[in-house]
Amino acid sequence: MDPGVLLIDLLEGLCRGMLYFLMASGLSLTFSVLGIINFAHGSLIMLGAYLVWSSLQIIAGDWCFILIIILSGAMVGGIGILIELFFLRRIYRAEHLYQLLLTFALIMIIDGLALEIWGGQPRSIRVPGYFLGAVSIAGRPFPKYSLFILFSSIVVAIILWAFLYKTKFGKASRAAAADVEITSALGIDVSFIYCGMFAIGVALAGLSGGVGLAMSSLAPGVGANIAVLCFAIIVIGGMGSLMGTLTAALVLGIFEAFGDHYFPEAAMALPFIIMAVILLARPQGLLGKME
Amino acid sequence: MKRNRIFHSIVAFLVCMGMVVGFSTISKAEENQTVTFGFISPMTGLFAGTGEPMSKGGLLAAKMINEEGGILGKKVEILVRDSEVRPAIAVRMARELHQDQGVNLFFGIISSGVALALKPVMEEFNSLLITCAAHSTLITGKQFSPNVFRITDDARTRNYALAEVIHQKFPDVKKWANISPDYAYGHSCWENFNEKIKQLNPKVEIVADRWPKFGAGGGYGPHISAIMAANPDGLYSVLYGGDMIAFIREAKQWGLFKKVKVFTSSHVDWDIPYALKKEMADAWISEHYYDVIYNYPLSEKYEAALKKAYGLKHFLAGQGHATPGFDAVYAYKAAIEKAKSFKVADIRKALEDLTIESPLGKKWIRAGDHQAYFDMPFYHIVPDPKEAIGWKVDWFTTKDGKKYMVPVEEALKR
Repeated sequence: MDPGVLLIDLLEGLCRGMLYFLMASGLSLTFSVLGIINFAHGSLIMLGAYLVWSSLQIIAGDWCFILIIILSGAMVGGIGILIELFFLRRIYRAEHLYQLLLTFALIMIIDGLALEIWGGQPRSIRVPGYFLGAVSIAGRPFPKYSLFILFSSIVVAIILWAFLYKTKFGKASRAAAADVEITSALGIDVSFIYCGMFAIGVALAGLSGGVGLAMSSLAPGVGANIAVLCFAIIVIGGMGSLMGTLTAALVLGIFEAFGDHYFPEAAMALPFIIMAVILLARPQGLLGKME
Repeated sequence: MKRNRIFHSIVAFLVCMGMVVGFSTISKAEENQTVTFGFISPMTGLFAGTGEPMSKGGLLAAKMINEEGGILGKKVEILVRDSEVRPAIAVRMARELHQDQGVNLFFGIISSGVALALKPVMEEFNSLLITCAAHSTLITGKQFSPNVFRITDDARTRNYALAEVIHQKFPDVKKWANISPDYAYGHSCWENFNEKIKQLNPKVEIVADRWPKFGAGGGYGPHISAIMAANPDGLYSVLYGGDMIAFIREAKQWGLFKKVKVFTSSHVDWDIPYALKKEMADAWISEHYYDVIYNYPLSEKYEAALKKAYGLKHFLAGQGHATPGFDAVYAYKAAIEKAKSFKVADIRKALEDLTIESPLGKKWIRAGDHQAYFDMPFYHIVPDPKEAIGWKVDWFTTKDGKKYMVPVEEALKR
């Protein structure tokens, strides 16, 4: 085997894994803090990508690409605040079935709106010139945009870690995740934390849509497959564990990249085989805690 | 008093019944004035760029037929349903159209998987299906159904012709790589191209054979890396819709197109270069229709009507798939008029060995396998920064489909 090709495959796997983490991290956050299973997460990822596409139709020039991705993520986060205030807040204490129905309804609404606004035709996000083409690594080409995905995902992961472990809000949200009643008794506004954490989770979804779908085809409904992938990742990693989500995303990304290259016949089944093996060995997921 | 009430009740009941019977009679009368076709194809998602223009071609044909007096005096109506390219949904849509709307004549379908799933449904309902862009040879071959016809070419005809074009233009290309969707259509296209190109040049070897998931819409990096590691001279792919758009974008990033002498596909629809614009690759391809090539009176009429109905932008990107949709409706019209009947059995018989006028010239449906044969377009798209769209067509030709036919007995075995 050519070591250069192996290195490229490893890089591709890391890039894919970090993108998967970026996509699934918001879902993991909202589940760990709010206990909400947000089935509309994939649709919000798609929405982030559409906002980037639309913004780039209006604003010419390559300089604003990264800024637009960040702003689109923030806009999706803003939509998340509205969803939390008007819908989710009413069902925190309700059965999980209500959460399922509500977030499933959100999928219908977001996908339906996307169809009305952007139409059914596939769209391609205009990637700036400085991200086009490849760089040479070990004598082999590797796309610049894939490196951008890798580095931007690492940066977001570091910011997220710093936010959760170094800021007052992050610490309070972790406390709320551990025990909401004691957190509330300590005078912390749990409603504010819930709203903020849901907005951050959804903003991460929007951000990952802009970053991750720029090289893919964008069409209403693409969020469904992504949502399935995100759920697989948070289950493999251990429900509610952000570090578990990162580990699972990297494992899946690297296995997929090598699987696609060397065992393409098994590539479609590979994520599910990994999920089955891990859950058989550790039913609570890689870094999850047994209840 | 009591008798009066009973009398009034009976009168009211009779009046209501009369109204019901009357309205249903009117409704039947209206029904009898219309012939309804069911159209099933993806109208949303990664493959909407294929299904949506096809529906527009069918709707345009219905409009033109109705303006000309309909079919044997009946107006044409088309009921459009979104299959999302999923066999289970397409089957559900066909059942709904047949059982609730009384539809027996279907057309559309872009995926061979969906067409094959609909085959037993058509047989169960004694209905007919004209597929417009499902190309697997199985449909009019090994899995032939008396209830299914194909108004577009099959994978064999188009790929035999494409292999000939490519061999003439690139006789020295011997190392080939394939990346196509992993289902009936992808395998059928590649098998036929592979078979013909090896027949034309026995020194041809396949150095990479990749089968990504259909509908992946991205994430082709490991496949591209594997293809580049194999150093092919020629690259073949029949990915389509959103899959092909994403593949070309990614492959350009990896520099794959710079490594190969030729990139070819038997099915790159116009929606792809128009979506990619400056990101389009140099490609030797084929499609369902290209307005520059065909200059028959019907071509001119069809193009003008399509532009008027949907605008120039939609015409340019959608003309390819609009054409078989248009042809399917006109094929039903020709068959009904030939049979002078709206009965399914009569229409089926009339469709066999039928020749229709199409914007591509004459299309002939062979009786033995229900496959249409006609002049297929082939062309070369080359990136050109001077063009506003970022590319231009610098060469084109047509190939007579009949030249690449195999005998019916052989076709039905494959």
